[in-house]
Amino acid sequence: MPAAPPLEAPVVAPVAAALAGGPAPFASPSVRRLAREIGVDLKDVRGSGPGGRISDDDVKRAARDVRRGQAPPTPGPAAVPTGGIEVPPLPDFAQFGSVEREPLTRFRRTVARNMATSWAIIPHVTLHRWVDVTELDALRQRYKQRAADAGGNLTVTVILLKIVAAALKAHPRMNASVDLERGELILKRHYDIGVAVDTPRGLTVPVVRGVDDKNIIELSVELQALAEKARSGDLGVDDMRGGTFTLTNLGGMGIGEFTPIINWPEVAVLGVGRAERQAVWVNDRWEPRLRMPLSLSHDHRVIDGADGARFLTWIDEAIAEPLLIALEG
Amino acid sequence: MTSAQSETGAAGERTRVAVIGAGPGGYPAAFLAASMGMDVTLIDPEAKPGGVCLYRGCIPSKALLHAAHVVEQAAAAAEFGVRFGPPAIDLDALRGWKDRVVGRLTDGLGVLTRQRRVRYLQGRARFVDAHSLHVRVDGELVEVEFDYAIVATGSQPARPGPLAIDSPRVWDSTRALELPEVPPRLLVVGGGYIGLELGSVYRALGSQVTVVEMTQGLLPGADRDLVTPLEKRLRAAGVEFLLGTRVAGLEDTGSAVRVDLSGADVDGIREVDRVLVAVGRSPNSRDLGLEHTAVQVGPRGFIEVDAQRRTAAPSIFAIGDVASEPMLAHKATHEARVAVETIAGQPSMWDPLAIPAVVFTDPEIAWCGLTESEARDRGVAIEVAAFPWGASGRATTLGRNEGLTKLVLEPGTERVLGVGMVGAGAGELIAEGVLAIEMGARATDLQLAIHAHPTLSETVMESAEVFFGQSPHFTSRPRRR
Ligand SMILES: Cc1cc2nc3c(=O)[nH]c(=O)nc-3n(C[C@H](O)[C@H](O)[C@H](O)COP(=O)(O)OP(=O)(O)OC[C@H]3O[C@@H](n4cnc5c(N)ncnc54)[C@H](O)[C@@H]3O)c2cc1C
Repeated sequence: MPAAPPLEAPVVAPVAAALAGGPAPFASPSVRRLAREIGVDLKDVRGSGPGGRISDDDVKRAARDVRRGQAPPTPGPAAVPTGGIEVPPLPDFAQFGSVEREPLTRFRRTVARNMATSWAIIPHVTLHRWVDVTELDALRQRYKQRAADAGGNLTVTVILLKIVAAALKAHPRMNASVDLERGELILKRHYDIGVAVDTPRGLTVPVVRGVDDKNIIELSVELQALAEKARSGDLGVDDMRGGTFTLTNLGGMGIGEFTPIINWPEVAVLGVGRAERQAVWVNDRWEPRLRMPLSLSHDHRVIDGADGARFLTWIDEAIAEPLLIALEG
Repeated sequence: MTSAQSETGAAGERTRVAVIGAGPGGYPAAFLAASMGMDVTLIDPEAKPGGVCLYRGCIPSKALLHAAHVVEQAAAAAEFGVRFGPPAIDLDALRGWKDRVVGRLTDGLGVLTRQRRVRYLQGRARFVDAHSLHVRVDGELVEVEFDYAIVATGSQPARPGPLAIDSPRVWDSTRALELPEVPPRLLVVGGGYIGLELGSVYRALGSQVTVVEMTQGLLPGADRDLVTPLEKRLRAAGVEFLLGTRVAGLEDTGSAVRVDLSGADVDGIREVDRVLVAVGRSPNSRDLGLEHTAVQVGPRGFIEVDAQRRTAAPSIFAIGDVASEPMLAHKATHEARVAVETIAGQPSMWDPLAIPAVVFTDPEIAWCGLTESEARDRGVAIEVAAFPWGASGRATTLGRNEGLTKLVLEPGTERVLGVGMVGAGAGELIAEGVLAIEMGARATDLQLAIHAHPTLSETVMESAEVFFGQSPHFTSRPRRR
């Protein structure tokens, strides 16, 4: 280690250290922090205030523009948690053949960070269960037009939203977060369910608020609008924060069972697969039934496999017996 | 923290965050991490937190400067017809009071440490590797394993070549703050803020003070128009300044110190009773075992860090005097926040626009953000609007018209980029400048915010008025650079 030679000159503060790198961002500390939180480079932001001062609204607008692809994403600090494991340096891939380097977008880096956090922190258990949705689908067909008249789309996901909210009420530990430092489980008394939406830029999870207080038609309209907003890149930060549980449906893409990753700091996520018509032995004969796989991942630190199984069973029964929602949910 | 016996046989401890050094960088880092629910161990050789700032820096120097101000104000009162006799200085009592001031604050920190359940190890830490430390506590070796460490070991007075003599007559700032005696003739090497502050203390207590500065001016880095009023006042009070002068050697004669000076005004030997060496501070990055980690140390001894205050070893952070200039307590404290928030996974970053610097002499000098001289050096276009305290009602009632307040503004946007001031109480006034810069205030904002009359803070508003050529009390146009 090099020796530390003493400083020759009397030391007074060299000032404005932050200014040395270029023009100072014309934004207050809280706005600068917001920009970091949502991954916006203030150099890309046009300030709407007097003299060009940047407000928090300017930052949020810029974030939406970046997501829409109007402005180039610029690299910034984004420490990806690695679960305490040191990530070894990459080999020089070019030595094995020609490669191309594509910069990760800010959006992708955020997804990477969130996924790595969830995966590193949460011991996942995934339970699969096939549920009979023959009646549910018949109901869906029957009321589809009503939802359409109201401007919604009555999908299996929408109906499941309502069922899951009721299931969460009956199983409060699934609608929770863990505070390990304080040794507490934080039970949430609101039912705000995130729904994974595939968008051109990647996975987005807008949150449907107060699912328990809305009827299925209302939910169908709201989810439709949120998904639109997600696909056009118009979601604000507030549209994506504060969820208590997540629903993700890959059925539309032909996937059956899968192992969804929990959206930390939530403790569980429900994956929905593609429904299939299967021959089921009912009352001494084969019957064609529409069955759908559900995949529940839960945080094993606070939810045991049996708890998860009970939760799934409850959902299964609620799908078969919709009255259960009114009775227990 | 959990205890375990380690492989080396040393008593072992595990902690989430180990903080090394309990100064204004270290103890706030430990407290913040604890308040976020982390398991924290704070390590320092003293029995209680405080660091240089509380034990032998900011606090004792400001306590003594307060005493000095009272002495000087009592003498200045003669001007308006209030005469006191010459002060009788009880050095033991003054020292005792200063020590009580320090004790009160460090005791408080000790209590807070316990209240926040921060584990305190009294001892010196050395890195064994990037995830463990050895700490010698009461002669026993304790091994501390950590997920993260924050190095906040501060700095110590520098003693370059010719000044490095071991003599009871040659002091550093630590010794000067112990108030061993009031020497008849004190020579201060270094015209930085520490030399000027401690020189002012001893002058008020009765020493004949000479300040030797190697460069052409006092307080290198500060704008000259802010330094001039201080220099004038100190000269008038009998302080001698030898600028552009180098100390080539020191010799203890047994009863005095012979100082070999070479400069424009003086060349040759000067005999004084005591010498105070205040030529800067060097970071405490040695003897820390950093060589067992990937941590990089720069040529001047500062630990190299990024904008999150992370070193080249991902588990180790460094903050405060050991990491970078300016070596100021409040800078260290803000860095503590950045490091701890980063450890907590928050997107934190070191990005202040203004770090206030205050020289607690009389008059005080304070500035923040961009200075005029820095703008000139870097070729940044600015406009400067200054309001002299000669036109301030409040300054006149205090009999202190020598002050000046100025704004450094961005042309076009009239945004405040820097604020500088000299005058009685400037150290308290600078806070408005910091807020203005950080919030992105423009000259108009300062002009339109009502300031109480008669106060010195009005000079901030009046500077903005000067910018628009509308000051009721002073007519002048802003300068363009
Ligand atoms: C006379 C004087 C006046 C000053 N006045 C002001 C002022 O008015 N305003 C201002 O902002 N700043 C002032 N400063 C500067 C201020 O004191 C420092 O900037 C500040 O203390 C730095 O804080 P820090 O936490 O980095 O380190 P320090 O305060 O230096 O604390 C570091 C601590 O780490 C301990 N340590 C070192 N090595 C180890 C180890 N291996 N293991 C464990 N512990 C270790 C040290 O013993 C010390 O307690 C002054 C300094 C001096 C000397």
